[in-house]
Amino acid sequence: MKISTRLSLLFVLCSTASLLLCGLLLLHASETNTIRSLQSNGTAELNMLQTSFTAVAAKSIDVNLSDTARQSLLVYLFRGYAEDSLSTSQYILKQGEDTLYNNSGYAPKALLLGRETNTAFLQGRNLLAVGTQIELLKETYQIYLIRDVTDVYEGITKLRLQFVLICLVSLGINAGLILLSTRRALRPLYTLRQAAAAMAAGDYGSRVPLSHGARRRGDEITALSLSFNHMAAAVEEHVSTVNRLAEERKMLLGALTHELKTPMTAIVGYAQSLERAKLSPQQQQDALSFLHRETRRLDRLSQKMMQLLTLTEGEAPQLAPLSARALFEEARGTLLPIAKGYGAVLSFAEQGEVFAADADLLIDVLVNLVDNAGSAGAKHIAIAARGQALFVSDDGSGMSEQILSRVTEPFFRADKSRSRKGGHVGLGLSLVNRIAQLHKAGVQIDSAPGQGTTVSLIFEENLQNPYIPPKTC
Amino acid sequence: MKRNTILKKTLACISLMALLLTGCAKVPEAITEKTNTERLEEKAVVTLAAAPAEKTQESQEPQEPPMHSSPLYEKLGAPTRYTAVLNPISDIVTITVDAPVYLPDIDKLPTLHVSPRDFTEQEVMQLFSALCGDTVMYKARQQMTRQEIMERIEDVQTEMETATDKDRIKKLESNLTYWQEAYENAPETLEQEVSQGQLEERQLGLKEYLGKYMALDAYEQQTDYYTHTGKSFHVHGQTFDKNLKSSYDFPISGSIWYDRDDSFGQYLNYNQRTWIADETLVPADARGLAMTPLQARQRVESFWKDSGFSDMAVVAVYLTQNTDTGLSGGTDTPDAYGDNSAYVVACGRSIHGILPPPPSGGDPHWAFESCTFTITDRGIETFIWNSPYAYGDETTEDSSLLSFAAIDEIFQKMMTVKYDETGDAGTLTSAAYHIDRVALEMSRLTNRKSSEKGLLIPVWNFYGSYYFTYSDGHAFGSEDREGFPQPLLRINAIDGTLIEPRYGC
Repeated sequence: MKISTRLSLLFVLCSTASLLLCGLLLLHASETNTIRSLQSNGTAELNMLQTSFTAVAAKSIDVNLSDTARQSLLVYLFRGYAEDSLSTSQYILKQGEDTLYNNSGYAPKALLLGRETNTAFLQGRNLLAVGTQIELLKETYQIYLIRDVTDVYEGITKLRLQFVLICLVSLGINAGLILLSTRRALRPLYTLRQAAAAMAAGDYGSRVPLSHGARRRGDEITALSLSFNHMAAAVEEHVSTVNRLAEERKMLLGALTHELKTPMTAIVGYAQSLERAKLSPQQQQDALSFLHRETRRLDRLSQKMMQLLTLTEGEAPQLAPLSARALFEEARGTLLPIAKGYGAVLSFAEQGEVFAADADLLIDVLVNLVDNAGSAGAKHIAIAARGQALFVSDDGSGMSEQILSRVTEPFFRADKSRSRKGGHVGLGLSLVNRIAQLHKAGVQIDSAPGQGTTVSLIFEENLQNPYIPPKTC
Repeated sequence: MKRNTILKKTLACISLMALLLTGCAKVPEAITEKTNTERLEEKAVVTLAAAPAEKTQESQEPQEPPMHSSPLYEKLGAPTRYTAVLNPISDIVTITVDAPVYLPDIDKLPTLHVSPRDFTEQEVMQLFSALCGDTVMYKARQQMTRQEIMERIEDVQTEMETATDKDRIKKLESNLTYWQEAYENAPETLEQEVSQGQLEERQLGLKEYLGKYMALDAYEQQTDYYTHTGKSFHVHGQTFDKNLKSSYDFPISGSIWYDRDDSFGQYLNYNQRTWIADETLVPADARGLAMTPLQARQRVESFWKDSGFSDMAVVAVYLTQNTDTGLSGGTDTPDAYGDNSAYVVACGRSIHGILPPPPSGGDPHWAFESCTFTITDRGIETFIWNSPYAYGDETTEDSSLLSFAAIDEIFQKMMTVKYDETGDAGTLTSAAYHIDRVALEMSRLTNRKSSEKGLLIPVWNFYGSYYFTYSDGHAFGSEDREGFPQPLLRINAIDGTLIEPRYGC
């Protein structure tokens, strides 16, 4: 059963039960009062008759009268009251078990059931019976009043029916209103369900719309909707990230496949030549050197691929406070040989800056940047730390705007021929970019042909302001 | 097997419990009691101890010979003449009794059931034949001609010109609409159709359906819708249908009315009737009558015999008088009978040889049967028969009757109780009541407001006169009343209770 239906039923039942209880209590009180009033009126009427009849009979009755004459007198007097009364009541006069006068046809004792006043339902009629006793000349007589009060009971029944009708109508209206209200109140849940379904179907942009009023109310359903929206945003972001990563991987694999194809073709060709062709020792040496060079390049490629993949898919590194000085001292040993290999001079400058960083990763960054600088023909490579940024500047060949726009793409090489010779696979700046992302840092590359290149690694606090790197070379 | 055993044991236990509960249950008391008439019937059949009734002391004056010799005088200890002087509490009320006592000439009186009935077709035909057989009678027109309706329209329009009362104008407008609609459907002329005395079905209520009844209206000569001369014969059957919405909550009793000439002696049917004790002589105050009351009685008895009504009997003969107004009421025709007298012969169906009740009145729910002939020296002037009875089962053929001594005690007590109250009337200076006739007669009783069944029982009727004088000098007495004489006191001969027609019982 739907929650709206359950809630509606519950509310309707509760309200109906309350209405019924109150109504029944009121009805019962009203009925009781009516019947009590009836009995009271009947008693009053009988008392009046008793008083008048007793007075008149006492005046007329004679101790010397025979039984027959006395009965005749009493019946005459009693009938005068009974028949001429404006009331609709009927009267009975008895002396013990003897009925002297009865114009009702009912047996009073059967109606009274031992009480002085009683209402009974007989032969389809509601009858009020009241009885009393009088004494005349030491003889006891009983006077009874019988009144048909069916119309009063019919009125009560009618009232009950009206009450039932009102209850049914109220129930109907109540049920309708409650159902509408509940459904309206729970409508956000339906919207939530729809949004969840849409999300399950792949629409990660689906959100639960919340009106200004709903937000102002801030009820549980609004809170749930907001939570859902946050969750949906997070899911969307994650899915986007996953998709992006998948796309990147796809691209990476595609690029890798492409990068592998050329050297593999050459490797296979040279291997086939070595195997099949008769080559001179020099040719064999050249071929083996080529094979060695390419395989080493492929090895580097695979290492960098692994590193890139690890950084892309792995957990975020633990960032700890790292001073620039410590970083440079640790990296110096690795960087100097690389620079020397290119015939470049390496310099370091810092002023005690501290970054939240992973030392190994930042060293990787510096290695790749120094390697690229050397590859670009730089003779002076300056590594500096200032504020919340690291800079690697060179006086190499520089890059045009066109190249700058693609330079961080995996496997993109600004100068293919020189990069291949140097064993570059085009993943260095991709790695630098990825490492910067992991450090929540931005990479800014400033370069112009013939004017060298400065790669700035700007940590988060400084990302808001465009940073103009110092020209250190 | 085990289940069956358990079931049987369970059923046995339940049955035993039910039996025990039944045994313990209080037997419910009867919820109804016998009606007043049912109790009366019980008393009527109770046989009293056979000690002869003590005879009430007779008057010292010479006894009037009883009208009939009756064994009931001895059985009930009744005198042939009853005298007494009562002592009411009020100083201005006097009650005297000096009355011959009339008892039916039989030794036992029955108690039997009675109910209203309708006239049979045969009865109507017999009466029609007996009363109008020598005359060609025509069916009364049920429609008016256009000319007659136009006269009505003109009358209404004339009155509307001068009417000022808004309610009256509204009524006249309604009448005018009615007559104008009737005019559209009315014939130019109407043929007269001879009546053979057959009854026809009619509907009661013009606009609202109130029931059907059988009827006959016939005239010797009908000059227009409202005017007729010569003989007229009307029958209106009983009308009562409980299932129909009706403004009547009791039956409209059947009636037959015959007039030799309704412009002759019109007040003979309304004026006071005086009971005639000695039917052998023309009453001294009778005017314009040569025949004796006995001859009138015999005339009626012959009529019944000749017309085939063997069980109809004459109850009594009364004297009445016409009122000479110079003009007959409602028309410009003079009443040819002036202020002459006539005999009114009351009849009824005998109850196993016993005379039926005399004419009576006063029950608003069920009219008493009345069957009368108005006889002049010309013969039968009028015959009226209202509310015929059907005699039912006899409770007993010999009702247990109270002795006259018991009746005497009740009479003396109740006469003073009933009429002492007149002494409380403000300007009354004297109220004199005199009983001049006592008769043991059959009378009808019903339960309260019943219109469907009753009892015929023996009743002691104390007939008499009354005379009141007032401080302003004017006086009023029983001589000024209309209709048949009614008893000043009626005592149930079985249980001694007073009978008042307006209460039924």
